[in-house]
Amino acid sequence: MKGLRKSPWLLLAVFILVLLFRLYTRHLDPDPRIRSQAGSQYWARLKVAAPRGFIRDRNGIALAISTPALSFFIDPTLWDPGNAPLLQDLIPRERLERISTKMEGRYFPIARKVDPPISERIINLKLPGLFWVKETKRIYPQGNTLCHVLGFCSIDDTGLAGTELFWDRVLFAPPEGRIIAKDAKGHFVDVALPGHTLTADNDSLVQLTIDSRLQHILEQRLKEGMDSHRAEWAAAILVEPSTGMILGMASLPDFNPNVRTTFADKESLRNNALSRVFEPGSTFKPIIMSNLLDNGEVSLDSTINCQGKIRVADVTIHDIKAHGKVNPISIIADSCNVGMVTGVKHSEPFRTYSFLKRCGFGDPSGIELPGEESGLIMPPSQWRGSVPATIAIGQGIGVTPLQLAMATASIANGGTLMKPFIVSEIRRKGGKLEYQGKPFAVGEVMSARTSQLMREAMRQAVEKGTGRTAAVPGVKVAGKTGTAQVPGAGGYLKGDYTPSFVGFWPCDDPKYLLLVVIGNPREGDFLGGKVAAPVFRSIVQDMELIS
Amino acid sequence: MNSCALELPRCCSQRVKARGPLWILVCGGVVSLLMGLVGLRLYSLNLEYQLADIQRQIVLMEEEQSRLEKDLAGLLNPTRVYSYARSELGMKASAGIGVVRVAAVRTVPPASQAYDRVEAGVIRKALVWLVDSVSRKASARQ
Repeated sequence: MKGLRKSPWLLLAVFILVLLFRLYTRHLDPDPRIRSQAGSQYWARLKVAAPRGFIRDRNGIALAISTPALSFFIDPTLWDPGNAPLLQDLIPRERLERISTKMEGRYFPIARKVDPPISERIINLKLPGLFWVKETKRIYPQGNTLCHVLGFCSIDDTGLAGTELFWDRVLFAPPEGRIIAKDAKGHFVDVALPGHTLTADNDSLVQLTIDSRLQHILEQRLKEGMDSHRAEWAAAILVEPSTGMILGMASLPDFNPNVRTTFADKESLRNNALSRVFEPGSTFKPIIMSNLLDNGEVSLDSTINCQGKIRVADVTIHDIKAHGKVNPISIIADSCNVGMVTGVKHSEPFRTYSFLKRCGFGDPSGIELPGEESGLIMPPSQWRGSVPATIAIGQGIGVTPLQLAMATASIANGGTLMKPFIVSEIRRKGGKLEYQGKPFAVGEVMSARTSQLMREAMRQAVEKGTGRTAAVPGVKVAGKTGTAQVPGAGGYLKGDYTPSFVGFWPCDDPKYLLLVVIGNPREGDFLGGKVAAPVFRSIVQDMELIS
Repeated sequence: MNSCALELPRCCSQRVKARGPLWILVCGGVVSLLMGLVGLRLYSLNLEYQLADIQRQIVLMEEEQSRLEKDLAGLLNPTRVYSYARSELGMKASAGIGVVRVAAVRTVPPASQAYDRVEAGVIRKALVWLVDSVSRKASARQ
């Protein structure tokens, strides 16, 4: 024992024990302050921007996509204004002027969401005090195509219009928090949490029922028609009448969602297909006639003699010419105003109103897009004097092109009003199915026989009536022209018209229904048969070539 | 005298001499254990850096993929295809084109032909069965 006390090994052992204890306390159980300081050198908590989801057409072609982009900022305390000229032509001019002078603060953004070729040039300058963060930029690869349906986003990637707005809760993914390791140089090293990367994925998807090729045809032909008549606006809707599936939807004037300066014109942002209320004119006649036939207020055998004009209450309603003896079929084929007015003379306003409501007028259709108008339809208690007569010829009632297309689709499909849908399916992040667009029958609005009769009447309108200019060789098209006056303050505006054409084909078993509306043509003709029907024909011809 | 005082007793000296190699062995074992741990740590660091490098490459590839998808969507744009076909390739829609639709006609084959076809089918099935049973590759032929 005595020998051991005198032994130098004991001292050495005690020393080693103390050393081991201190090593343990320093490295394995350090003071929280030391732990925090050390941690900040090796770990960072980052907010990682997540891209928005995809919008695709029915064939899977990307219509809206998010790509990586860099946003640049400077720290004025580290920035040398003398370096500013090096960024000329790379950042906006006003930002360049600001950073050319001495500034206060620690953060000044100079360019947001810069695309790779330019961002790489800026990075390669290696300017002190210049920093960047990675973000995502919303891109619409098809440019103006389908712009009103797609809509657009804010600079911070939140939806502001169209599908981007309506389905923002699916498409938008908030920034995600990440704890990331840093190496000795301060670069981020993604080893902290295996499986979690420096980028946040977002595979959410909105798949539309739109066919890009048909959409292109629609937009191109509509633009040609609008330009040739110097019209103020135009709209076209292509729909599958049996299901209510929207295959194409065009509205003019349009904008480029990639170029924010094109948003300045408010009229170009409006989707005329569902946000524009107009008086439909004669394209409304088949709907009113369906009601008269269905109710038995007009029979197929009943005839009247059209003298070219008729007096109703305090107004005289004219026809282009006296049609002579007409029946319900020829009233539609020849677009006879007198015949329609005579037909509704004894009809019950409440019943007509109820029918129109059943056809979807006066209410939004419920399509998966924002900004849909309800239209204007007076309550039947106000249907006095000439009102029922003017409604019978499509005046004194406000409808959206979409409402008119869907109501006409019920004639084409055998009498069922279908709810329109433009979204095929929606998948949340991770692939979970959120929504699926399916045909939905709102209700039976007319009998199959009445529908058959109206189809025949509209077929005759194209074969030998006012819609001859819509006829396409080899295709059995049925349709109806319309030329409506435009209401203004104190009456109808002189020289303002809304020509339109609604048709479907093949007549016996319609696969497509197309409505073309041209607003306020300023050059050339203004009749539906001369302005809208040729556009309809050219669209059908193009579609037939690719189908 | 002093040097004698520092000397260990003979028995103790013998015990220390006996423990000496044991201590060396223990110390050597501890040192090699520590060295092994350090080596393992270095190796894991190396793997972590390799993993980080792969992750970085994945990020770059994903960015490249989204850029390529954007470019592809732009190239598939019908407006671009149409204008390219017109301006660059000189294509134009033919004025005299017409669409002729011929309804599919279901023809009933003559009885003799139908019999031949049935017979041929039976013979073929028998041959396939024979070959399969010989070569034991029935699944490959189905």
